[in-house]
Amino acid sequence: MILVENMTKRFGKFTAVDDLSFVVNPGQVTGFLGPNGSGKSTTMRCMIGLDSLDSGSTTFNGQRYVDFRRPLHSVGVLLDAGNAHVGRTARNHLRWLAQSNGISKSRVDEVLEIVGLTDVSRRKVGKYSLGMKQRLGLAAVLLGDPRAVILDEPANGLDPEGIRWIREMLKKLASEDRAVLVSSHLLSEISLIADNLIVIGKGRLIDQCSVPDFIGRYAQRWVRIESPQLTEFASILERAGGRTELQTSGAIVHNLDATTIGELAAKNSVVLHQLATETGSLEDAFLELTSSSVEYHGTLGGGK
Amino acid sequence: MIGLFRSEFLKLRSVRSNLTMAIAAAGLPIVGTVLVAIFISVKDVGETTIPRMINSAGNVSMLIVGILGVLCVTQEYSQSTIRLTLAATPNRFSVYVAKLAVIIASGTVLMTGVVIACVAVGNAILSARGFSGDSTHPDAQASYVALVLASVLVGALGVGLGAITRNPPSAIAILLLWPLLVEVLIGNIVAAVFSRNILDWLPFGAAFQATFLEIEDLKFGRFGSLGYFGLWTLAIVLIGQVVLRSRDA
Repeated sequence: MILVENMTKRFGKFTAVDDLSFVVNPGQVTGFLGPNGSGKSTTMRCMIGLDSLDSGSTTFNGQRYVDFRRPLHSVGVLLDAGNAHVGRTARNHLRWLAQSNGISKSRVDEVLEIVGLTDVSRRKVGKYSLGMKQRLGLAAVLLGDPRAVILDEPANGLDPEGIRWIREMLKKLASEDRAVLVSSHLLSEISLIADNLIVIGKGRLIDQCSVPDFIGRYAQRWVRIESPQLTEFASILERAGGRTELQTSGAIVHNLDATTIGELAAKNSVVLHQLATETGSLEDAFLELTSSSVEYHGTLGGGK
Repeated sequence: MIGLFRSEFLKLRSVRSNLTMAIAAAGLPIVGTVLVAIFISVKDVGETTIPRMINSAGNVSMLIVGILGVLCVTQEYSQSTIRLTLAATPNRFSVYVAKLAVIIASGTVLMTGVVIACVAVGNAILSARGFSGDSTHPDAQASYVALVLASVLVGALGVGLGAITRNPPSAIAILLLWPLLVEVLIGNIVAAVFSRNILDWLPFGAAFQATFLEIEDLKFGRFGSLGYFGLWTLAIVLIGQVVLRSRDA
């Protein structure tokens, strides 16, 4: 189990992580979400002692990271796929890591096989694509067969096959009772692999819950209807307090649930061809929740 | 700790630029000695010929070993592997000690090998050319030992500078400009203004002079001067350790 308690990290007057606490349980993939600049990467760096903390602590099964003598056996970390010397071969990159933690050469070969880089292991990392570097980073994570795994944007630069592969890999790691913490901007991916979510904004915890709970709490719900008497029924719904948006085919209704709409249709002898409750995606829920925490806003341009 | 030492040594030898530096450090004195032994007139050969050649080219090698020390640390920052290094070994002091140990061991082996090769090759060529006199100055061995020790200290100094600056160009510039420009300027200014020779008090000035054959005028003696340079090195190394430990990676 990974336990982060009251973590605070400041850079001068800027508070990057503000009294953050959360738990990553074993046997689950926990998604770590937040807008750009929300403090995800800083949190991960602080968790393993790369950045010093102003207050708080992180423990891995009760032990601080800096107290591990050979941490790769306990915690696997992938912070940036680019953290490899471009002039060194992938095999040598893994070998120096392995040697520092007393891991055998044969394990280096094993993890190269697992990530599919055996054939190119004697090629310099500088000649690797971003996707190959991600695989190399994951090989480094797996070296010590750790009980906890921390990954920052592991799917960055991967092709669809690579994304599927990493999805399956993370699920497998969690199924082996490891605690897996993974940050990603690919919310659709997170919705497919994560059991739990930790959402932060401006360095503070916004929520920690399961994915269905998160969507249930924060995503909008609406009812899709289709009827040959749509215009007439829309005005009935408006009078009942609903808000109707007519679409090319049918309409969507806000502020009324499907039961109420069905009863109103029956009462007013309106024929319904479709009556279905729809819910927003994880992305919708995430954007709804973090809209006030976004540090950097973009525009589509073209106007003043 | 042995695993960490092996890991750091693998890092050092698995990058071509480091190997190039090591080859340059070794090659310069050897090539110089070979050229001198081939082209010098046999009647001009004396007991100081080979030692002087080794020591003058060796001083350049010494700086190259220093650059190797710089790269040993700064490459980690320029290539962003420092995060991986410190994630694999959270005890930063151990990492720093392992880097120092690798540079000290590599510098010792490299420069000892260079000296032995130069003496052997130089003498062999001179013998083949018909030189039958004594080519070994009585102080040659002491100057060779001083050259190896000074090189090792400059290597450690490079590690310290690398840890302080984290930036290869800055650390290499400091390492080269310090002896070649700053100390020369300071020495000349003081000599011009106060008519005093302070070369013995300048760290690199003391280290370079300690490797010379004749050291009669050296204030602290050969190994005293190396000790003096060692104190400067120790100070830089300690500052580097404090910086490495206190800064975010």
